[in-house]
Amino acid sequence: MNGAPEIAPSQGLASRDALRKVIARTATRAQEFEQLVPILGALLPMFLWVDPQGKICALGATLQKAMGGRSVLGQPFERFFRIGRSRDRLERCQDAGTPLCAAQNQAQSCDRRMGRCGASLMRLAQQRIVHLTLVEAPGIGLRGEAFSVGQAGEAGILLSLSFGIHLREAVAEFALTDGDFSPADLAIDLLYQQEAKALVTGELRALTSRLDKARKAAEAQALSDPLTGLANRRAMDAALDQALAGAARGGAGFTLVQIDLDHFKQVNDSLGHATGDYVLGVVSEILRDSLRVGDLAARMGGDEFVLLMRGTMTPEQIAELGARLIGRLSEPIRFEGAESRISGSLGVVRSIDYAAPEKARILWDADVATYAAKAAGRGQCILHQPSEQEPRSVPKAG
Amino acid sequence: MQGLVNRSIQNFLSDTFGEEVWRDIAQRSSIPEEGFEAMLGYDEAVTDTLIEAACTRLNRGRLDLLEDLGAYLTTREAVRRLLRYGGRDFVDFLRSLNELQGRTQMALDYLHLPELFLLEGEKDHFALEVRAAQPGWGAVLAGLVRAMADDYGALALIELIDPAPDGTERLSLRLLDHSHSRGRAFELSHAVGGAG
Repeated sequence: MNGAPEIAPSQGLASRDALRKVIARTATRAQEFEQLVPILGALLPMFLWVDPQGKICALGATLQKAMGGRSVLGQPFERFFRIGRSRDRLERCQDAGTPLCAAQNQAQSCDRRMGRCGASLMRLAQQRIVHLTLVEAPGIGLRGEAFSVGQAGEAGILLSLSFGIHLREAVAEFALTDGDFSPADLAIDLLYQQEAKALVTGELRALTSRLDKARKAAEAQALSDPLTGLANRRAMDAALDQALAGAARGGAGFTLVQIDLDHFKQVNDSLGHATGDYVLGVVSEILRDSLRVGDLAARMGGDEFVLLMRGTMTPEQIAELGARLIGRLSEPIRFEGAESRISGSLGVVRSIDYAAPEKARILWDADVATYAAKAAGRGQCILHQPSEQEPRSVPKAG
Repeated sequence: MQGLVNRSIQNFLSDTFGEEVWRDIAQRSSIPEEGFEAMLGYDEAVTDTLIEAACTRLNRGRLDLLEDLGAYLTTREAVRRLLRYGGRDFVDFLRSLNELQGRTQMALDYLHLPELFLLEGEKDHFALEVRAAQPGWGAVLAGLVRAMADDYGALALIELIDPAPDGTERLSLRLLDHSHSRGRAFELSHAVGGAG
């Protein structure tokens, strides 16, 4: 149309695997291949061409930046690269051209990493994926593929590399810009995606953490008595279920102490609800003080409390605990100039006293023991007796 | 960040041994029955407590159980696919283990998987070094790599060997047959969990 020379359409390119053979056929001499270097540099800013002696012949501008920008042309490959994530430097084999060279000696296979004979480089060209590590920046790996160039690799190998998963680190370490990547390369999109994803993940994590906090707070609220901060009836129910399951599995038993305050109604009636609430607060402190790790104190409602103590307490230990609690509950409580005097009646039940402890039965027996304590004149602690006989009062300790 | 790790162990236990067993283990290790949130952080000690409780409940050795955990992970199609991104054949996959930590960190930078080093020995012999803050990852990797050999259709001997003097866990891998069976299919285009 305008006199431009006509270019015959290419035959079309074969699969990538077949292209390896094409590359190996096309440039039979290094000199011919050299003419392609500017094109390679334009298309693949991270290409690397290594001659059969293992010296760097040419490389792309971005890879050059990753090498610290200094001149590496003509320098041995192993000075700058390691193969895989090996921490060892590549060793240079000195056997090339001598009778010792395994690669030239058909009977032996060469296992040397790097040699002037080029055999080791040819091995790289046989791997589908090549991993390299930068000697100067061992945290950064390169990934790519290697092509053997020329007949039997007489023009060396050509590597097409990328930073792979170390892209972000490489960009930071070598101060790379978008100009260092081809617009056809997905590197910038990958960086963008990583940053965007980090932002979204961060938001999701913050949300999860907020929801988790809210859930825990709601749970704690649902399980605690707002006035005293002790557990509520629901929480005690769940804890008792768990303790019963543990005991059924053959684990340690438990001791349940039910506490009914004595004379609380009078305090409430004569001194008012504010004083009553204050007294309940003091009681909850006293109960809290008696807890060991793993024990639970709950306000079941009104002036009724329950302690769930892990382990089986002996009658003596129960008597001692009862006396201590009653002693402290009986101390006068001062609030706004007035003095309140209360006490407590305690009914105690132990899981060990039942062949097959059952919740309803245990709570009923605890109630019965508490009423017995009240009937015995208040300020008493009574351990429920498993046998048919009547519950008996525990002798007061100390 | 232990949430994802703990959640995986939870899923392994409840999928393999049943909800009942999971609840029992959770109770023994004082973990709420509903278990872990993948996106939350937990103390590392919780993981150890959990594994210990599971071993006691199931009457299994720790390494034994952890190897099963590794194999279990590959039965999750989404995880299997991510592992198959490692390469076209089993040797490619082994080499890709070098990048596993980096790849997972690209996806979730708060997840710290162990650092893996593949050492290539004589023909078809490999060693995998597992550098992690917590011991046990070696056994998980042994189970996982063994299952992936099956997935690729390769026949390989994979064993946990004595750790290095500095505590680095090590696996010995011997590839007996690259294409022993057909292996399972993997197509890049068959993503699960949709990009929708």
